[in-house]
This record gives sequence, C-alpha cells and structure tokens, in this order.
Amino acid sequence: MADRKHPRPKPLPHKEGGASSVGDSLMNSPSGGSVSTRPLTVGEGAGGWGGNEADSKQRRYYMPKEADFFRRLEQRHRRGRFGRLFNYFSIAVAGLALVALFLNVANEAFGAIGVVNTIEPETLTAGRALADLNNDELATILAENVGGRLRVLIRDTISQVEIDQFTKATVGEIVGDDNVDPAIAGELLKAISVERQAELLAKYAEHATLRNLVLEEVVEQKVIASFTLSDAIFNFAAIKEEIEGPILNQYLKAERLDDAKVTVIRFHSWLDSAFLTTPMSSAPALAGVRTALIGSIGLMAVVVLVALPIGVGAAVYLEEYAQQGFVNRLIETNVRNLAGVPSIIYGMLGLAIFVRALAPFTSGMLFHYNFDAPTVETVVELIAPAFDGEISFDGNSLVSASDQIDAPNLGRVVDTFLRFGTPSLTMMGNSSVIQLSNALAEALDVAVDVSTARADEDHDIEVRGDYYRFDVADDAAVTHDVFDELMRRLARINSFAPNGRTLVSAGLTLALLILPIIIINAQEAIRAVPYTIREASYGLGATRWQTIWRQVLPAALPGIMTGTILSVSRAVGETAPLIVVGAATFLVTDPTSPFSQFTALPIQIYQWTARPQGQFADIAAAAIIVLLALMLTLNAAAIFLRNRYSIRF
Amino acid sequence: MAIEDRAALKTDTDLVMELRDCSFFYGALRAVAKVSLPIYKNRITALIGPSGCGKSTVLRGINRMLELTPGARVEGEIIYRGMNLYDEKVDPVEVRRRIGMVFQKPNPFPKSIFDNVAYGPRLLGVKKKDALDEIVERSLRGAALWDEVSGDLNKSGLALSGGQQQRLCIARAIAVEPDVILMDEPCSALDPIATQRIEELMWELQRDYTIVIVTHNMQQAQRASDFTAFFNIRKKIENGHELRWGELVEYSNTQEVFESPALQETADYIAGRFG
Repeated sequence: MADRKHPRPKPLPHKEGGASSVGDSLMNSPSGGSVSTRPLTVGEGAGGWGGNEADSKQRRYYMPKEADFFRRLEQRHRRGRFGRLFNYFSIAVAGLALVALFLNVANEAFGAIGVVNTIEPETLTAGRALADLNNDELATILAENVGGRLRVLIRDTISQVEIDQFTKATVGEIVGDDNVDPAIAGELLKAISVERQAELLAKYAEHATLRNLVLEEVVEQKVIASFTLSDAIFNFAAIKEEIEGPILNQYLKAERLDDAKVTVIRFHSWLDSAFLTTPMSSAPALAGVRTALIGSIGLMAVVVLVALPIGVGAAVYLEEYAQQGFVNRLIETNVRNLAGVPSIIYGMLGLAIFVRALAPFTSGMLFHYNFDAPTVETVVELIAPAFDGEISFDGNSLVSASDQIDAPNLGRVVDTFLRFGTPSLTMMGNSSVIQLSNALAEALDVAVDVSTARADEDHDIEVRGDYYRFDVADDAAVTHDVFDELMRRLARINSFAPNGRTLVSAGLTLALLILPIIIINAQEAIRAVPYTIREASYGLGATRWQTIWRQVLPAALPGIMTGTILSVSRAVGETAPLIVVGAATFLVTDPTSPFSQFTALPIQIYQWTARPQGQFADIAAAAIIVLLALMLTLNAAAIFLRNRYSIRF
Repeated sequence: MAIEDRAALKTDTDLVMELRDCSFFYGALRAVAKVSLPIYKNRITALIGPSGCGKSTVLRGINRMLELTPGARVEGEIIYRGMNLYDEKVDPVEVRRRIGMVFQKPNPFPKSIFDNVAYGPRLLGVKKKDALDEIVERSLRGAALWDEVSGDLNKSGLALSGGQQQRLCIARAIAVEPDVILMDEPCSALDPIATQRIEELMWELQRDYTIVIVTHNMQQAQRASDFTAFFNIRKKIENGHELRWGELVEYSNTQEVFESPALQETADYIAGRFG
C-alpha cells in the first residue's frame, strides 16, 4: 500500500542486500579492481529498491553503464577543474585591479618635491630645525623679518572677529580672551608695537600654524617640481639632477632671479593633517580639502535625513499596506527601473526641480537665508535717484520734495516695491514685466501701455533679455524717464534671484538618486522579517501600525541601516549630478547652513585632475585617498551593523 | 474557579462561543463548509482531523486572524458572549485581544523574555514598570516558566529551548488576560517531554481560560480535551475539477468520540485506518 502511494520512479544505486550505502559502492568500485561489486547500474533484485518482482521485470533503467560512468566522471571532474581555474583567474584579476588602483593613487599622493627657499631656514634659527623652536622664537622670527605683515597674519590666523570689523576691533575682541594684558586689551591692534603683536601670535596661534607662517612668509618656500613615489624610490639620483639643473634654471629665469636660491629635495606626502584642515587654494601646495570634506559630510546628512524616512515609508507601504495587484506591481517595477537610471539624469531632474522650480525654498529665501527683505529705508534709497528732488523717510512718514511725485503716491510706490521684494511672491516665479509695470502704474495712478517693440532706444528697458517700451501719457504725473527708471529698479528688487545652487538642492538630488535603492533594500529587509512575528503581534491584539512600528521595523532595522549606509556611500562618490546642480568649483568658505554654496570631494577631485599643473594631480590623488577612506569607513560601519545587530530567527 | 465547582456546571449554560453555520473561504474557494460548533467555558475543545480538512482555518476564523490572509473571508455567525464577532461594528483588534492565540511553531519576538511578555500589556497602554513587572511574573508563573527564567529576564526569547519558547508564547498570550486561548498544534514542533509539560500546563490554564486546540495527535486530544470535534475532507468532481473542502463530521465530549464514535468515519480515523 505504501508503495502504491509513494512509487519510486527510478532505481537508486545499491548493493546486494540493500543495506550498504552509495559510498560503500564507490569505495569498492572497479577502479580498485574489485570484482565483488555489482555494477552500480543494476537495480533489480530481492530486497532492493525495485519493489515486487512484477515491477522490476517491466522496469527500464536509465543510469549509465559502469564504463560510461567512469568516463563521464573524469569528464565531470575536468569541467570542475576548469570552473575552479576560472574562478581563481577572476579573483586574481579583481585583486590586481584593486592593487593597481591603490598603487596608482599612492604613487601620486606621495612622492618627492623640489622646494626653493628664499632664505635658508638654518640661517634664521642658528642651525636648529624649525620644528624645535618654541612659539615665542617663531613669533620673534616673524616680527624681525615681516613685522609689517603681522597684523594681516593675526587677522588670518587667530582673529575672532569678522574681517570687516577687524580694523575697528580692540585687541581684547580680536583674541577673544578676557585675560589678555589689560594694558593693551582696549587698544586697536595697529596702536600696539610689533613686539606685542608677536607676543599675541605666540600666545594664541598653534605651533604648526606659526611654523607654516615662517615657511610661507619668511623662508618663502615654493614647490618647483614634484615627482611620483615610484620615481622618488627608483630614480632619486636622476630627479635630483633634473631638479637642481633644468627645473631650477627654468624657475630662476621665469622669476628673473639670480642663483642665490637654495633647493631642497625631499620626500613629501601630499596627504597630511594640513591637507584635511585647509580650504581650497590656487597654489597646490597650500590647497586642502576641508571645504569639500565638510560639503560631502553635509550632503550625507541631507541625504540620510531625506531619503531614509521616505524610502522606509515607501517600502513599508509596498510591503505591508499595498494590495497585491497591477498598480502595486507597476510601482515596484518602476522603483526597480529607477534604481538603474544614470545619475546624470537625476542631476537634470534636480536642476529643474530643486535648483530652479523650488529655488525660493532651496536657496533658503523662505527662511530668510541669503535674502534681505527690502525695508522702507532701502526702497527709498533705491528709488530716490529716479526723482529730481529729495525724497526721504524720516522714520515715520515719507517726505517728497520732488515735483514728480507727492507723498501719497510715493507711499504707494514704496508699498509696491516692498510687495515685490517679498519671498512669498518671488516663490511664485519671477513676476512678469507686465505684472510689474501694471502694479507700478497703479501705484503711480497713471495709464501705461506696454509693448515689446524695440523701436525707441530711449524708452527701452531690458528685463531678462526681453525689450519693453512703456508709453506713459504726456499729461501724466510722472514722465517716461521716471517710470522707466522706477521699472528698472523694480525689476532689480524683483530679481533678487534666488540661487538654488545650494547644499540642500544637491542633497535632495542625491537623496532622489538613492531613494529607489533604499526602497528596494528596505523592502528586502522587511520581507525578511518572518510572518510568524507579525502573526504573533496581531494575535496579541496589536493594530497594524503597532505591529509595523514595534516588531517589523525594529527587526528590519539592521538590514535597512546596512542598505542605507551602502547607498549613502554611493551618493557620496557621485560626481555627475553635483556638477549639473552646480557645485562650486572654487570655494574657500565652509558651508555654514543647508543653504550655503558647497563643493564636495568628488567635485574637488574632478576639478583638480582637470588642471594642467602636475601638482594638482598629486593633491587630487590625496583627495581620492580621503574619499576612499570616507567610503571604507561607511562600508565598515555597514558591516559592523549587520554583524552586530542582525537577528537570526 | 475551583475544579469541583466547575464539575458542577452544566455545559449548556456556560457557552462562551458558538459557531453557527460558518463557512470559510479563500477567494472563491470554500475551504470549510457550514460549521456549527459550541465552545464551553473553562473546557478544552480539541479540533482533530486529517491535514487539509480546515481545522486551522476554523481556529483562525475564531479570532479573526484568518482575514489577514489576502482573499480569506468567513460567512456565518460566531456568537461570542451574545455578540457576532463578524458584525461590522466589531473591531478585529479587540477580538484578538480577547481571544488569544498560540501558534504551531514557537514564535517569540526577537526581544528579551521580559519584553516578549510585556508586549501585549504595553500595546494596551500599560507603562508603569512595577505593573509590568507584576504582569510578567504572574504570566510566566502561569505558563510554568518563571522558575526557569526568573534569573535572567533580559535574555533573548530566541535563546530558550523550543519547549520553553512555546511556554513563553503562552505566557505572552495570557499576559493580556484573554478569555479564550486558541492553540494551533502547539506541540507539533516539540519533543515528548516538552509536549507533556504543555499538556499539564493546559490543565492548569483550563481553570481560568477556555481553550480550543488543534492537534494531529490523537492521544493528546484524548488525554487533554473535554470535547472533540472531528473534521474530515469531502471531495466532489465538478466540471472536471476536483473540489475539496472540510466539514465538521462529529462533535461530542471526548470520551464519547474516542470510545463510542457515532460514525464509522470517525472510528476509522481514530483507529488510524484513514485514507
């Protein structure tokens, strides 16, 4: 009965007696010359798998004959060997590519440089190395050699006040220290002696900063040549000769100098702590990646803050709420396709949406960043030149001494200016010239015709490339000239063009770019949470949201975080969309808010590699190491999270 | 309620729940037809029958877990304390809180033992630490697990053995003080010793709860239950397709079902002469 229910379709290898295993058969196989073994192919016989006699007589056997089996076995192993070799080959190629990448980057980022000093450092320090001098001694060197520049150096290194306040600030304010010597605390910096200025530098500047100042200002160190690490290791003598010969001569000729310079050839790492902490510079030896690094980290923050909640929300909807059906399948397919869309297309999208259409938001204008809303004072100042007589605002009321406009009309004009200068209107897109002129005509209580003709040069006004002519009736209160002038100024106040090329625009673009990846990852993670967990939660009287929030998401979190970190590390390496949405190419000020201009590491690398000077290639390589380190850190964090927090059910 | 008192109860006056002509559907497919079944208070009712006869479907229909499966629905009435559970006004979340469930495979949450048991009370808004402490201890004692785990309530529920995990699931279910506990083959993934402990536990729980259990184990049904409902598969060829559905064949008190079944079908199944 059992056999009828579960027929065994094929005979399995067996030995007589039916008790031995396949392994036994192979051990006794004919390759060992044993004759006691029955052929593996035979399946009939009492007690075998064959079932009853009647069955076995009708049964046909499909397994190979013994000789065939061994021939084929050899073949099978051969194929296996080939497969294995191919796998070794693949991993070797991958490994070599990785090694080549690292060697190439290291070769550029480290190497030998030829340095020219105007003054030999030893002559300043009586034979001691600069690094051994203390702050006071370094400051004294600066005071003795470039005493007149000390105030500039103080401004650039230790000053705590804004640059435009610097000349008016007291010493106490500049160093931002209440305990500074009371004799000088209240003085302006220029009023105290060079020696006291040097004391301030010695006290408040870091040792490394002072040493760099001495090198830059006194020694006037210049890098005239750089060679890669491999050249420096294998051809040191040759490059030394080249630097001291042709390169130095060329430099001296270019700078119209005598041969009084001193050349130092030494190993140099372009990647050092100064590289990480200094902003961009046009001199490669002084340039750093601080601005780009901060920009990249800021982008990461925006990307995570935006893409993570939205991505997880979408994944939760698709996995937990959506009805399985055509629409849901369509959405899922599209999400998957979006993950494969080239990043530059996201860049175009970001440019159209975030940089342009949402400019009032992404420029920070709505939050009063980068935007000074006009006041009555600024408007009066702006429009006063349009009128002959004096117009002014005394704090309470508008006063007009012009026969072109009286106070009530002036008030209406000022209101129009204020209205068009508010971000809420600007958000609607820049108002058209027609709108502006209508508003202005209404304020001035005049009739005006607007045409786009370009006939009369005197009455043309150029607004965004279009030419307009305003016809104001001859008997109107204001003349053509005044109206034109007001329109020009109104156009200017209206064109507080919001600049959407900010950190938040780029961050949103990158968030859009990795959103599909995060959704897919989160879906996988949510799907991996066993249904039994949901069942248990529902069974205890949990609502759907409680189940999702308290069971599904916590259980899926390690997977979601891993996916998010990996996709963020992809976003950090993206270059193309950032170029399209307008990352700054030369930026020395750090981004201070989401609405700041920004640059990022890949942009910086791209810019530097595009420059002709060889030393930029070297610092590009150093920046690549910084970027790689950032990405490896992120990936390591992902691996750590996965191993530490993932749950096995 | 003391056992002596319970013995004096007349079963028909202590009906907790009654299924009236309930049919269970998956999409267009009728999986179980026209079940009418009483569930008595503080009794253990066992649902037995071959695989695919719809016992689990019926069980899940009782606390409205079935409708979580896309396409599944129930026709008919389940009267629970005078109210139809499938009435439009009834919130399934409330049903599941009053009618708890223990599943075939132990499924503790990937959290600590404490958090597993405290999960239900927390869902209901119990936040105070001392209240939760008390509930957790009471529930773990109720599930005969306290002595084994009281030393380390912060241990993951997944670190327990299979039998302990299943008792943790029972503790979790009784933490919200349900009225009825549904058990869907609770011992099928356990060894005989763990099974015995769960059965003993069921007798303990019977004092405070009404239990409905699905089991494949005839001895378990015979040993542990007061009433037994036997389901079987019916087949019909319609338009060239074979239709299969489950039906309630026989319901009576357990002794009667096992010792003097009314139908030959039942007797065959119980004696293992099925199929």
